[in-house]
Amino acid sequence: MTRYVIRRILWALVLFVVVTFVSYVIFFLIPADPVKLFAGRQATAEDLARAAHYYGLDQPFYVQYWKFLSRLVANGIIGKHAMGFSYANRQWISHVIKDRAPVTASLVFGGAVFWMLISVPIGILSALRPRSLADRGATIFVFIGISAHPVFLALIFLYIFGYKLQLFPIGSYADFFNPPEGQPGGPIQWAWHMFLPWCTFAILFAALYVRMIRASVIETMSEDYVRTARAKGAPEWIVMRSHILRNALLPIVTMLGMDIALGMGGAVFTESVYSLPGLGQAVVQSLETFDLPVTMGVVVFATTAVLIVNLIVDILYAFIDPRIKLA
Amino acid sequence: MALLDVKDLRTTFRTDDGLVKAVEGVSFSVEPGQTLGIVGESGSGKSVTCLTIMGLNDRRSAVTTGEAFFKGDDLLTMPSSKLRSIRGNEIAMIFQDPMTSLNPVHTIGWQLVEAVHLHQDVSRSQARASALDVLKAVGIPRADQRIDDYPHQFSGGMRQRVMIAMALINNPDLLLADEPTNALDVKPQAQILKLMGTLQKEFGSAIVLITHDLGVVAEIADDVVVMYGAQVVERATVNELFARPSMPYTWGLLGSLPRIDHDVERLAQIPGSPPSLLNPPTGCRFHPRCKYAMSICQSVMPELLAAGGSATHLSRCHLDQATRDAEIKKLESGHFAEVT
Amino acid sequence: MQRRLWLSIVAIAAGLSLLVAAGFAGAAKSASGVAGKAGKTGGTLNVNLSATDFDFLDPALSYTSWTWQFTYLTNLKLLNYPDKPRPEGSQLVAEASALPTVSADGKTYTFTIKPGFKFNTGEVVTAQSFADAIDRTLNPKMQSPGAQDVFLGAVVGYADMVGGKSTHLAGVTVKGAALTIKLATVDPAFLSKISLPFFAAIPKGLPINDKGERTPAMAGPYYIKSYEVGRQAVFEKNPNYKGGRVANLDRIVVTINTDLDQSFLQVKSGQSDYDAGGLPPAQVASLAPLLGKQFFVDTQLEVDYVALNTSAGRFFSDVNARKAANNAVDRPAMLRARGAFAGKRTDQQLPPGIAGFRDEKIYPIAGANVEKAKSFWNKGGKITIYTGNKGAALIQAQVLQFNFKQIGVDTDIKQFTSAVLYAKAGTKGEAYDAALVGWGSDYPDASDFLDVLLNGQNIHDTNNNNLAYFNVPEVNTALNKAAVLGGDARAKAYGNVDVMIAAKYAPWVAYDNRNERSFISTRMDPACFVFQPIYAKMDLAAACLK
Repeated sequence: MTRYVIRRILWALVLFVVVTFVSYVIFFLIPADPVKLFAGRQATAEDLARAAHYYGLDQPFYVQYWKFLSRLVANGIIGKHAMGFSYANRQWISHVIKDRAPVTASLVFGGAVFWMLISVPIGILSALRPRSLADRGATIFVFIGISAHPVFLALIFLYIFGYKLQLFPIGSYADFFNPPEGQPGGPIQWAWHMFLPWCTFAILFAALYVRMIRASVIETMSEDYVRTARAKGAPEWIVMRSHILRNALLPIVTMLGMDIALGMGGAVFTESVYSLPGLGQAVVQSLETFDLPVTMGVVVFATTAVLIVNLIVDILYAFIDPRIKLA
Repeated sequence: MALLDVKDLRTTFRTDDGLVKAVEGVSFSVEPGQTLGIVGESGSGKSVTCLTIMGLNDRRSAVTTGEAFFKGDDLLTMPSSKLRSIRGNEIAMIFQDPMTSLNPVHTIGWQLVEAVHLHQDVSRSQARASALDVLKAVGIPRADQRIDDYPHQFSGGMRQRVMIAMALINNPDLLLADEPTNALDVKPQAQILKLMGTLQKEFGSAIVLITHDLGVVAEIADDVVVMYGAQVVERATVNELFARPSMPYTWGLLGSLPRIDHDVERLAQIPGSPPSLLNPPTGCRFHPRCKYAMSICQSVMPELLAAGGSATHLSRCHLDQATRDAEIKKLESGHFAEVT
Repeated sequence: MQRRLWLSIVAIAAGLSLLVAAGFAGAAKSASGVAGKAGKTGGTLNVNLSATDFDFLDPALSYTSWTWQFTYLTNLKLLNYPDKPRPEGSQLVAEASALPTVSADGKTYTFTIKPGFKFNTGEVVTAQSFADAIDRTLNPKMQSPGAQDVFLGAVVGYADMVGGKSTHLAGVTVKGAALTIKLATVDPAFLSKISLPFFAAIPKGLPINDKGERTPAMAGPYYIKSYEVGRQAVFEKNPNYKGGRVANLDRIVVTINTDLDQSFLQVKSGQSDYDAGGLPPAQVASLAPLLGKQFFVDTQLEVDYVALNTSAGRFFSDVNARKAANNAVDRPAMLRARGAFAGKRTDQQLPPGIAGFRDEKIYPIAGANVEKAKSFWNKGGKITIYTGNKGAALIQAQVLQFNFKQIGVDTDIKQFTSAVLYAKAGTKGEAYDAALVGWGSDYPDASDFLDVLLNGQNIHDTNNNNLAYFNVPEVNTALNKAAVLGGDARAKAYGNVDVMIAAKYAPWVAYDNRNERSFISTRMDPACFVFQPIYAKMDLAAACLK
């Protein structure tokens, strides 16, 4: 177990260096000069040189990359100065992450709960009654969920439920804790504001999961040990709960880990359309302004988060599936 | 009164290709404490017969008619809650593949305790105590430590012992064993059979033993049913069957038994393959593989009739008695000395 | 979003001598000079700021048009632009100082700070508050864009200051209420420059911090109550403000980084009152019936153009090819690509309204004149055009492709994110023939268009603003001469150069001057709507609720 964790962490470090290095290279290949953001757009050559020197932007990219890494190590990855500051508004990246990660986490984890809440019952129902009306309905849902782009869905949701019916706020975020002055906040407001984003974010995964859960449950239902359980005289609900679901959802747990990581990418769209001040929104803006430190900060954070989530899922999997040994 | 009395049992499956008649008019009965062997090749309908009696077929695709009286109540028509209270309690079942028949995510202790709790209102510790007892009874070494192990931590033979323990834990009156030794190596096979025999004496259960191996039947059965192509082709007490097997398929089965006094080449299987149940042959189901086949065999299905002058001995064949007697003599010369 | 630096314009119109005169005469009326229209007071305005955040609310660092709309609420400046529409709104008037006196050689400006101004903390505004602001902005440890040579480069001691040799700008002295600023060389645009938001009053001891102060105390009619980066800013009336500017609303709550489409729905439904980040282009046409009630269209001082690369060896080094392009491009089609009420067609470099602008009909602005274009160029050819990769630029690229095809010139369109577009086109020697770009000035003066964009002496290796690489001695000389003039002479000189450049050299195909399109909720009183022409946005201090 310890060996496994150490190996995973070493592997994560390699991955981390590769990801950040590639991001750096790409950024330096793009001919956009951040110095103008500091010196001003009417800056003379002298103005530009002064600013570039002040921020070390006149050094070759590998030196800058090395400084980036050493600063990260020296400050500890969560230190205030660990990831530098934004070129655009000079915010410490640690603050940007600290402010925005909870929003993305709300969206992604809330969304994951949502899609599981949707897909587990639907998946089971359609597995229990293949080719029934319910199963066909689920198939249509899957089809829509997979083909509808989140931005398209979001705009439709906003128009119908936000603007026309006024059931939900038209975008915007409400903090769970400590909302900005005069703004709504607290668990209820938070959930109310997040409801449409969750639906939007969850629908694609919910659709995929309905399909997977359906297939997995159908497959598990024909397992010999399920027959054994019935032969023992277990009522259907116990057969489903203790014997089918425990096994059918095992592969889903691993998928969930990967998809939560994947979902962080998908969160970009949802955050943009619903004006959620999350990491995705920060990345989109940083890419448009070539604000490298913000991009890097989110990359570093997301990579770390994904690795941690995967580690947790692996350990969890070993815990719930006695056949797996971590080595 | 017979413990289990099956009458004209018929099971048909709807498949994408058409109707599959997996069991066609099977009748037999089992007395308390007795052992019935059901013998036949794969696909002869012997497993489905058992599953039908237990009500374990897929309800959406299987259609069942006939009767299966257990202690006077028809298992096929009783409410499912009543059936559930019998399953695993009064009738228990052992399956052929112990590797896949135990739930991989629960400890064997959990699975045994679940079996107790499904039928007995006892405390957790009592249930666990009886689980431990039954594990010891089936010969799991260090049972008190292994009770919390998962199925994958056991060998195949040990797992089948666990399956047997799970079947016996509620002291059933009837044990349906579907090829319990099929997936095992020779050594654990023998041990399991021996164990079943011992336990039958200890627990007093009747057993329906499904097997394709007449040798096993000879060892532990009181009565035998031979199935071929979804039908019963011969039914007799074990002594009658081995003394006067009365139709060619049974002869074939006997001929494929290993024998000490002959070399391995003679251990030939019956040529040809089992009939398709989707599209069974006309007439006698066995005629395409039967070296005694006559023209009548191709068109007329033989009835299951008394054979060899005993009321308990029935067989399904058009051959006249003289031909049968001649064949039996031939077989006797080499074979029966060592089996009986 | 690219840093859309805004355009201000104007106004050194009055010029040096006039301003000095006005300084004496205007002192008496200056109390009401900055005042805007008084509407119903009180209430909270909910504003969205779509698709972006403030860059900084620290006056030393803020350098975006959308932030300046808000710092205009909080900044107290020596001179300021009133809360009024054109023409008054673009004329500098006395604010914290009376109009300055200027020495005979035009190099020494003396401002006298009026009493009675206080920061929201209660601290009194003094001449030192402004001197501190100048020193802080120019301190290299601030790394402020306000330290650019083009702004205060003319002040004595500038080089020592930005070089880090001094923490105080030598040319600035404080004596009682008097703030004296000495220039090393004459700069007729100095008053416009010292009136930039970078040099607004700051409280004593405001830290020197290149990350900026988030909620510095301010002395304007409003102050920054709170600012959560990426989330929300709250501006409230400065309780200590006793100056003449209006401040109708009690509070302005800005929700940051909203989505443009979603925000539009919010304003329509009254959940929000105004989006400072703009409008979804496709929705603008539907607002026509609300014009004057909820929808307002005003001209910005900005120009959009196709820069024609005049570098030797490139296709457009031939002036006839450039004139052909000016005749061939369909300006109405280019403008239509931006949606309804997007702007006004033009064929000149200076936007109308800038001092000195003279409208001459040089090229066809009603549509392409293919025949005329062919009379300049019938030799065919192939050109590479750089454009942005978003919104209107996509359609405009097709318009250009079609227009050039009509005169037998093939086009190769290359599209980039705007930051990349400007960086590539700004690199000398880059292999392109035309670039679809735009410009708004930092301070209101013709020089901030023509000198920056077309003076050949300002061409560097990288980071160029002269994207036509236009370098003609006749023009350079004329621009250099105009730059040292003041008053009417200055305006006239720039106006003449503008016409000469377009008519004789045609280095651009200028095609429009953009409009600012404002959409307000029904909660707001349209009678209070004021378009502040310098900040080219709705004036939030003048805004009021019904």
